[in-house]
Amino acid sequence: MITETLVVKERFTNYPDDSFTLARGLTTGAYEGLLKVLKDHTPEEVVEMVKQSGLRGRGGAGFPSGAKWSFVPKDVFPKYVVVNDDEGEPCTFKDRELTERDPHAIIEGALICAYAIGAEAVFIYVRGEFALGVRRLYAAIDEATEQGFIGERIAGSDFSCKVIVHRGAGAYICGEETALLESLEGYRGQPRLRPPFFPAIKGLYHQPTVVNNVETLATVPHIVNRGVDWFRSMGTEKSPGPKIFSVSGCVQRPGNYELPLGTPMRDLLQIAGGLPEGRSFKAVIPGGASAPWLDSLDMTMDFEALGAAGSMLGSGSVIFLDDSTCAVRMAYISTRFFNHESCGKCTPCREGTWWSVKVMERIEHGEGRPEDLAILLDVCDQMSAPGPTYMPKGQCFCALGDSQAWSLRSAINLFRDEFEQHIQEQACPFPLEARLTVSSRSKAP
Amino acid sequence: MIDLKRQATEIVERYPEGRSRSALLPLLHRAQERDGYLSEDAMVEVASILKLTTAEVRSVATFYSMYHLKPKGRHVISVCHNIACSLKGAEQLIDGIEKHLGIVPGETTSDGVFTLERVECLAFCDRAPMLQVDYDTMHGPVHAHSVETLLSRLEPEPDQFDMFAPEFLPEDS
Ligand SMILES: Cc1cc2nc3c(=O)[nH]c(=O)nc-3n(C[C@H](O)[C@H](O)[C@H](O)COP(=O)(O)O)c2cc1C
Ligand code: SF4
Ligand code: FES
Repeated sequence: MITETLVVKERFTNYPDDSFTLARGLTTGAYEGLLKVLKDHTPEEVVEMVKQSGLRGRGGAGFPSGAKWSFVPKDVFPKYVVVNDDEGEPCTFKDRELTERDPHAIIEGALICAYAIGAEAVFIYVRGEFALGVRRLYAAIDEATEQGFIGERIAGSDFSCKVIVHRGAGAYICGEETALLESLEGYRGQPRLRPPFFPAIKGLYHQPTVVNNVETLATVPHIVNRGVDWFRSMGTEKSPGPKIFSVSGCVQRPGNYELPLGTPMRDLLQIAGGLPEGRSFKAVIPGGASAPWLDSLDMTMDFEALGAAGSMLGSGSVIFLDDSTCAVRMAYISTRFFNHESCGKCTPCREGTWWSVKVMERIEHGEGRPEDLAILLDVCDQMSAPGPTYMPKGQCFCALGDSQAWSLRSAINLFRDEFEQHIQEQACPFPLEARLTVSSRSKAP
Repeated sequence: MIDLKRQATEIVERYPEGRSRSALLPLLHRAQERDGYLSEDAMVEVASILKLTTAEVRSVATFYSMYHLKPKGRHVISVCHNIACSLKGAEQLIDGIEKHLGIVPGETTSDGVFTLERVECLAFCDRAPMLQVDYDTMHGPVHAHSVETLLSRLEPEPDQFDMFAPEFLPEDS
């Protein structure tokens, strides 16, 4: 039996009814990490602690959090912390659950970060559709303000900080940190040029800003409370600590499972109840729809191993596909998503995703042409030249375009036979799936 | 009735001085909550409150999928058609709703009660297939046969599901 390693999930797993309240938080250690750093540590020490812990960002890129915090200049004011709670990566649902069930953990982590970099305000950018999460955050901020954890001279220290909730309005691209900042400033959410707009130097309102993912920040209080050695006792040398994996697709018990990084993928499948009865494994998308597909279960869930396998850990959401799944249909849905969410700022992505979805649509609907696979691969190469997947190639303005190319190219490479069969037979060979592709009265956009 | 001007004052105060443009998204949410959609008049009003041009406001309003520039039904039913939901029957669910309501995604029923739309992943994939009502309550797993019960529960009480979750601002009287 594989059991979870409950760290970030611990409070809401043990107290599912009221884990989001401050009353419950206070009986389970909430804000102890904040009080500890205010009392015992200088800001520099906190940055150093997070550096030593080896914590890497949980939002997709896996960037070392301590290093990110250390890039913020000391002598420039004002500075800001922005919490990336815009979770939109297909099949990632950990940040929504955390926001709804443990908002105080997010606030505490963000305040520790604000103290460490000398920020005067925290902005929590929440995905617009997370209505319950927004309500829980507002309520949590009220409670924490009343208790003196937010506001002027927190807990009698010299540290003052505000926390502001900012609700998005529906756009996946606003999860990209510079697009998020544009959106927070009241503009269309389109990415900014780097350099000069590295958030740590020129972020929100062009001031130094740390943008971190919800789960990254919710992990920080545990590092403060239990120490760097404890954190490093889990996971691998380069990917230490626990991670929440959102497991979905063809599994019997989809859900968020917290396990050390470096856990074998087979264990993850097992803890999620395995594949449906009588089905066999076909493929796995290991890091949200942006990650290249893999057709093997023999690897561990960490940044290094998935990178070496030609994919990436991404947001840590794992989609299992069984043998009843049509690979072409899944690639079509994924392409349709990236096309829908392309912000239109740069030509390779705006045009590339648009043409790719047209071609994918006709292949899946039995109208594919012999030249279609070559067209698709050519478009992929124009959006992102072949090479290591974790490196955006710079042809597209941001990594959304690269992600589309990585994902579609991997699907074609792994399941070329199936794509060709669709084209030769002018039909989807998965009879049930084919019926499900388009509902009877409307054509999927 | 929501008083946008009053709301604006309070929303603008949340942001650093001189950064009133940050209030644009929250204010558009409030305008939509007031009118049910974002009318041309509302965009002109928001523009004048924040001292922006109407074109600036429109360019933002058209970028985000949650803002509706045309009137919609009292209830918006958003069905996810992304990977996890598709694997669990999202298209059958959409088909079932289409048959029950007699509309396709993008349309509103003739009595003005329901608008149906397809949406991308709403981070509720462990309960696929799922749908969201009025950008608020998420339901899942929802199957075609339970659609009728679910929708009939919404119909008689249009106010039970707040259109656009409250921003927790003081009520206007
Ligand atoms: C297209 C795109 C979408 C993204 N969406 C998200 C998201 O929803 N949530 C998130 O935390 N990071 C997202 N990211 C990554 C952010 O740009 C950024 O790296 C992250 O918020 C940094 O936080 P971390 O270091 O704590 O992971 C996205 C990146 C791209 C290119
Ligand atoms: S790659 Fe796509 S999403 Fe990114 S800037 Fe270009 S058009 Fe926008
Ligand atoms: S795929 Fe439907 S909610 Fe995520």
